[in-house]
Amino acid sequence: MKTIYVDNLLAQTMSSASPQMAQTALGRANTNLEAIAGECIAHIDDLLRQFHMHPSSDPDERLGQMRENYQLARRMIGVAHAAGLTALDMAAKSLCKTVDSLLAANDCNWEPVRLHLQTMQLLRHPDRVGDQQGTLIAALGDLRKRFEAAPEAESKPPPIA
Amino acid sequence: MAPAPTVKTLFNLERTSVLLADGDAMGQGIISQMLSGFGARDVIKCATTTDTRKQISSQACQLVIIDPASLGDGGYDIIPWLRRKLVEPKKHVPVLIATGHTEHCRVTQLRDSGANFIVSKPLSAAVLLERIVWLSRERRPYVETDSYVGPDRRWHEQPAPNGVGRRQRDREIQARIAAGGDMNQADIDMLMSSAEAGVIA
Repeated sequence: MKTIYVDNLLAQTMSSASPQMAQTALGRANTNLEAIAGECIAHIDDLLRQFHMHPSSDPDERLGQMRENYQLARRMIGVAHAAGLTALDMAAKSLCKTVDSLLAANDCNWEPVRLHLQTMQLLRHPDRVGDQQGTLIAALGDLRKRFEAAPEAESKPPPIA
Repeated sequence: MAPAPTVKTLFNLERTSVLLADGDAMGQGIISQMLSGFGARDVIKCATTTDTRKQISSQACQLVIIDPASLGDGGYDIIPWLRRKLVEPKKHVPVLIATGHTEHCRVTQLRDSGANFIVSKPLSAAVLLERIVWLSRERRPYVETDSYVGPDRRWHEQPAPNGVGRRQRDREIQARIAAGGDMNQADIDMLMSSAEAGVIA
């Protein structure tokens, strides 16, 4: 095994710039995000229109539809959050986890997909759902647990040397 | 012990070139807006595997943020390629993976890709800022083996005695970070000083 000690160029470029308060930077970033919230909602609506709502009777074709729905839901994660639709973001992630588990088992069961898609359509308009958003997300969580297989791959930061 | 540096004196991306690789235009736009708020002026945007490889090869950047799953075929191979095939200093550029969801069959591949950090979307501005600050303070050496090239993963955790931070606000800050909530300046300064003292692992 070869071990290499390198200069941290990111640290060098960051320290060479004029100091900036993190709070100011965060404020600017959040203002920028608010400015594109409308675009995010339009993108979400576009993605929602592309989902396969009706399953094919052919199992192989249905698995293909599930893969495409997975990709659409994955693209929604983060965008829905930025659009202020946090519950929809969570539902999209739940759909990804569920479909991933189904595909890993080569299972083309459409029922959990259908329930997710219907819930996502509801969560697109949170004003119509009111305080039931939490209940809907919890229900999706219960549904997902029946199919879920893998943990997330997120890493936590190491301690600073 | 040296006095704990603060974010105020260290944080600004004005002179940092960031390569942002995300196959979804809106996903790319969201992170780009955050980086712009952090002062970044030079953000190289890529939407495909081919373009990402081309730009990493030809541009000098000090930070790579990538969503491998969104880039299509070969997206997961970019970081191992970068670590093995490029020359100094490009092969040791800090890499942050930001991904919405990782397929079951890709989790191990992603963890062994040689990235410095993996974070899950949705990504708040506060979390992105925190990760970039961590990357700027990264002191881990890089290792090269037959099966892995990247930051040394054998870093040593030194938790606080009995797992409990001594500062009164440690738990509050950690809970807020875990919840993905935004931090205020006092929180960030506390986080930095706590991390410097080895309190927050």
